[in-house]
Formats: sequence, C-alpha cells, structure tokens
Amino acid sequence: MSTDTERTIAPRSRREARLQRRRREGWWRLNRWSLPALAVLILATIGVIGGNEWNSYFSGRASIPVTVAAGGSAELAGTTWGPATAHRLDADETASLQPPSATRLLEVTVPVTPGATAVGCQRPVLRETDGAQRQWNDASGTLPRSAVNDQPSSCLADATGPYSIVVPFLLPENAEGPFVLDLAVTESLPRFLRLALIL
Amino acid sequence: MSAVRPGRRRRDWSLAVLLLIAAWLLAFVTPAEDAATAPFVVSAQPGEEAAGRNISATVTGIRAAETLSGGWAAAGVWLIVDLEVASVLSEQGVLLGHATLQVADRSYRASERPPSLFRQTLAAGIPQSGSLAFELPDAAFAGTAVLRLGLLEAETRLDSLLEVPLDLAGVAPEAELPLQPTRWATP
Repeated sequence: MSTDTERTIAPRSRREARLQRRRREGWWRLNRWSLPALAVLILATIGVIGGNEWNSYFSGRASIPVTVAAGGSAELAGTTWGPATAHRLDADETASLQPPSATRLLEVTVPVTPGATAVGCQRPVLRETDGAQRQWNDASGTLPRSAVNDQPSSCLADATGPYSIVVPFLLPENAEGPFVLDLAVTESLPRFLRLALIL
Repeated sequence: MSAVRPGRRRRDWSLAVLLLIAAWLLAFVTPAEDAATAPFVVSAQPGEEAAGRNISATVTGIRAAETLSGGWAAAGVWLIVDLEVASVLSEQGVLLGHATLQVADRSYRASERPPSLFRQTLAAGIPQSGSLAFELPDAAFAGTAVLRLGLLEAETRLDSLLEVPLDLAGVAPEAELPLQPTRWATP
C-alpha cells in the first residue's frame, strides 16, 4: 500500500495535505458530520411528507373534536350550539313508531342560535364513549313516522333565528351510555362539536 | 495467493449446498404476496352467529326455487339464503355490500334484482332479517358452497369477511318461493 510512502513525501499543496489527512482517518471519523445530518434529513423528510399526507386526509374531515361538557354550550362558526339534552321516549311515545323489540328510542335536542350567517352541518351521529364506542345514525328515515317530523334533524342553512335540532336515535337495549353527539359543522372542518349528553 | 486446503474447500461447498437447500425450504414457508392484505375470515355454521369487526350475521335457512314470487325468473335456479344481519360498531355508510357464494371454482354474487338484504343499510346492534337470492346453474346443487358476507362489495382486504358453509345437495328446488321481507329481526 502507498500509505507509508505518502507519509515520507512532503505534500506539495494544502489540498494534498488535506487529502493525505483524510486518507489516514477512519470511515466513521470522515463522516462524523454527514451521518448526523443524514439522520436529521431523513426524519425531517418523513415528518414533512407524513404531515402533508395527514393534513390532506384529515383537513376535510371531522377529525378535531371541540368537546362541550354536559349542560354547556359552545360557539363554532359564529353559531352557538347547546346545551344538548337527551330524552328516552317511553312506550306511550313510541307506540305509533313501531320500533323493534329490545331497542330504545333516544331523542336528542340541540338548541341552535345562528350568527350573522347560517351554517350547514352533516347529519348528527350519536356515539358511545365507553365500551365498544358504537355509533348510531339519525333514525328519522328508518321509523314509519318520525315523532318529531316537524322539527329539523339537522342544521338549517337559511335559518335567521334560534331553532332546535331534534334527532331520534334507535339504539339496542344494551346501549347504556354515556353518550355524546357528534355534530360536524361544514364551515369549521376539521373541527367538529362533541356535545356530552345527560339522560 | 496461497492454495486453499482441500478440507476448507469441502466445507465451503457443503455450506453453499446447505444454504441453497435452506433457501428452497424458505420458499415454502414464505406467505403469498397478498397475505399482508388478506381479509380476516370469521367462520360459522348455519344457525350460528358470525361476528366480525363491524358486521354480524346468522344464516337461518336455505331454500331453492325455479321462480321467485313477484315474477323473478332466472335461467338457472334461485338459491335463497335466509339470514339475520346487523352492524356491530357503526352505521355511517355501512351496508351489506359483499354477498357472494363460492361454488367450486366459481363465485356468484347475490342478485340485486329482487328486493333483498343485498346492499341493505345495517343498524348497529339491531339485527334485521331477510333473504339473499343467488342465480345458480343446476349443477351447483350437487355439492357444497361457501357464503361470504362483508361490507364493501369490491373490497374485502383488511376487514372482516364472514364465511358460512352451505350444503346445497340437500336442497330441493320448489316451483316458486317468496323472499323473506327485509324487516327487524325482533319486531
């Protein structure tokens, strides 16, 4: 090998001196700056690409809950929502609706006070917070006749004054709660309301 | 270069042959290419509930007919599968979208023509009863079949897929039969 020979020959320039020093160093020492920089760049690349993908997927969906405690209200998109209440319909109230046996009908009411401009929202979803965390859709269309067919079951995009959203949910008897109502306001996505309910 | 001793050469060749054999054996235990995205199969017998991630179903009976009530005719024979089905966790966009019958090497999708449970919206925790109808050739009734139920019609990867074996040999076709109306299983 020429290494011993190089040590006995005086370098003719600073560049040659630098090259001789580099040849004598080990691989790890040679790359003591580039390896950490590479690690940082890899992590940054993963973060940027992953963050972009995450943002693209979730920005248009109801993915960031604004939790409202039971009995409380919140303002979102210039509109005041709540307090949300839940009422279990008894046998007399449900007789004409013909729900199947081993089920219960839950009616959720959410007072809405629109702001300067009315907003739209997706259909509310009832969610269990414990156990399997099941979700149920608005049952207005599945029952023979809605008990609240003169009340809106979703936001009114052209409302100018206060109104109430009244939504029936058909639940299995083993759904004991506690429950929350997820309400996605179109103008505020990805934030959405999660209203805790008291039965 | 120094000469390689004969003993070392034999050892190297033996090691190479062993590695080749090991590579050949490895091919047998390597999963198939689509194994990483295969559905999670949940099997059950007729009369037993099969419960997956977000779908549960119980086959309550199978019947066969030349014609379905309502004038639904087929070139072959109608196989009617009566069942109860529900979703488990959620209802948002959940329906019985995948309903196929595997007979030998052929797969038949449930017919969308007569009103049935096919593509029916499911309720979480609340079973609905009804029927699925399959148009089958006469030869299909000679053996067994496997009923497969899932949520998405064309996509079964990485989600539950219910499988129920059905004995078609013991089903004698009648002239005309109705499908069970789709309704709550416990009205």
